[in-house]
Amino acid sequence: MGVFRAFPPLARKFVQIARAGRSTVIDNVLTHLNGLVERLGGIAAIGAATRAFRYHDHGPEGGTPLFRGSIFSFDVGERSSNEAKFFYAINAGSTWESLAAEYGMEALFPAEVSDGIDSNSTNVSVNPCALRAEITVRASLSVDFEVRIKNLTTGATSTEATGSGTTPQTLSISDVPCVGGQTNFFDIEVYGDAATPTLYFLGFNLLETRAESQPASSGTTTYSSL
Amino acid sequence: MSVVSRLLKLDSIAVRAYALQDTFLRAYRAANALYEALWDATAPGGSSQVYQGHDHTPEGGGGPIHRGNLYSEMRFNVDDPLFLYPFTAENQTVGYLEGSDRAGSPIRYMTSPGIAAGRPLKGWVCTWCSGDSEFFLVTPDGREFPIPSSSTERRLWTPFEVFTTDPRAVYDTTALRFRCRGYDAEDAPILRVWGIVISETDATVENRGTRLLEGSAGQADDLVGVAFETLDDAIVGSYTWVDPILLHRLYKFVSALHEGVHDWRAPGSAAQVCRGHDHSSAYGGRLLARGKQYTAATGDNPLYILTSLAGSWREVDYDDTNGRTAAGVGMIRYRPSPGMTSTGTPPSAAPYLTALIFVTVSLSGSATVKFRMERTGSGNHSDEATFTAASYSGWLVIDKVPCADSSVNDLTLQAHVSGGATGSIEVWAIQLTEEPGQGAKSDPGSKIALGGF
Repeated sequence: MGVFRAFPPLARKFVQIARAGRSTVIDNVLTHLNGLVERLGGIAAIGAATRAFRYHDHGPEGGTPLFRGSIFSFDVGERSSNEAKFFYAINAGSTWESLAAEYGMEALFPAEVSDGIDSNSTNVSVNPCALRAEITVRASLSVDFEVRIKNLTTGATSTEATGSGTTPQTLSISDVPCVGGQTNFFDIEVYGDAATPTLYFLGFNLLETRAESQPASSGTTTYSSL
Repeated sequence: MSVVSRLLKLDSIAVRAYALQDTFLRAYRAANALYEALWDATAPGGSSQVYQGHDHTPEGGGGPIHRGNLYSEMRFNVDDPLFLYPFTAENQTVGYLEGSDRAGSPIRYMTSPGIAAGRPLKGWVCTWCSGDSEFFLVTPDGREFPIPSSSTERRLWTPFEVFTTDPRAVYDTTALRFRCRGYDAEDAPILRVWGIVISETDATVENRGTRLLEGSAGQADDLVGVAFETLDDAIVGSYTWVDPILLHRLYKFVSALHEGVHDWRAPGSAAQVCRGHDHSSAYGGRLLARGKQYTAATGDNPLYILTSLAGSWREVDYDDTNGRTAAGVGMIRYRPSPGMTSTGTPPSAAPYLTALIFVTVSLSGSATVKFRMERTGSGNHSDEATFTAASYSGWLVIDKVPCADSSVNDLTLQAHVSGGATGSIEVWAIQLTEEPGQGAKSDPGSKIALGGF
């Protein structure tokens, strides 16, 4: 006797009408249940001395990938004394300009993107999996300006968010591209619409969220309706 | 009718043994228990939930998972780094934050529950070095990570690794240092730091058990059923024949559990039917905290300075007439995780968030100083962090920060000073976290926890 753990197929053919009963018919179920206890609960199967299976971790060890909240953020605080901590004077206008290049940086910042959250996959909103950026910014002039995020690891850029004027405002970008399970390097790009304001960035939060980042499941039915 | 959820020892069945009623009952009950632990819902046909949904904490079960970024601090002004360290001797070391009001207070962050001591965290430091020397980042365990030099003013990101230290503490810390090897007075070494990022990654999580999930698909076989039908004790009542339907029902149930756990087709199945759990109200599973939601710090400058002190609540950017509060923009913007909607002001129970702030306060005399956070537009605020003194420098915890799921949340930080004291309040750093197993959890009531990983 022993507490065995495995995931044998539980096919209908084993329990067909008039088929001879075998101990394996129910043993398969018990073995499978023991395996699920370990994979789900992260504990040894009840009565077992040791754990055979690794737990699911919504990452490399299995389970649907999970978004993890903020993966990079910074903030300069109040405007009057600190906004010079992060600003950019648009040079030419009518062209996208790189903040990383302005600051002499290979990349503006790194962020660890969770395993399985990848723009090659489809999210629960039926769009490519992506990150969400919340950017608090203002311009030095009463003009429109645009901001977008570039993933330097993949070379892809988000759509742009349009800001306007000198009052602090928070812009949202919901399709920042990403590749999962590794460090991604990012840049912020700005566009001046032929004007050349200075942009003052006050705050920035890059997030994995359910709507933007959570991969859709291959399954079609939720447990409550199965 | 009796739908029972219970995890009991499931011994293997000896060859030629009779398939006793008890064996089927145990299987039914175990399957029901796993259903509840997986989905955080009452087993089909049951009247109440016995087992807690797993939430990847030591108490709630499910194995530790990493929560991503723990700490980030940046400044982008080319001429104004977070910290500038002019070395004056060979083999000199300086501490990160040295020279600021936060000196002597190491970087503080919240690691995920269940993460063991000595597990690696991935860090990045953004620097530019000048002068005739070699530079190193020194971690608390004495390891040195070379920081590349650049003849041009090019800022480089360098990876490093630190280890978790105290898994029992809510907040972990790390004290980083920098060292220069050589020193030439004619070309003195200078290190400038523009950014620090520290994150948990998959490597942070300790694997226990030895086997990965087997490549279990086998031959495509469309005769593997997937369903959650009622597993009632009465179906396998005493002295009834073992009916193939009884077994088939169990097979389908367990295969559905398999897909719910793994988000992968059941062994032997050609296609996946049941969506995997993702700890959301849409796909099922218990509320899961996501860890850090926001960090702000700008090195050796405070984020906010409040000098118009009052015996009423004022935003800490009150004096900034062109600032965010004046413009109607929240100081902190983030997205709470599914299920993170608080009730009451301050929230009477979980779920809620927890904030850490580093403040320095200098007053004309002893006074009671209070801080809280308010969710913009709701009027709901957090608990208060309070002290009574004429001066203070250090971290404070603001607990029970209100939140609302399914929307953007904006928060403001407010201060209150009693007794007409004058002086200043400086806010140097803000951390906002969904604290797993603490404020960021659903109430398990008296349900049984899987726990114990």
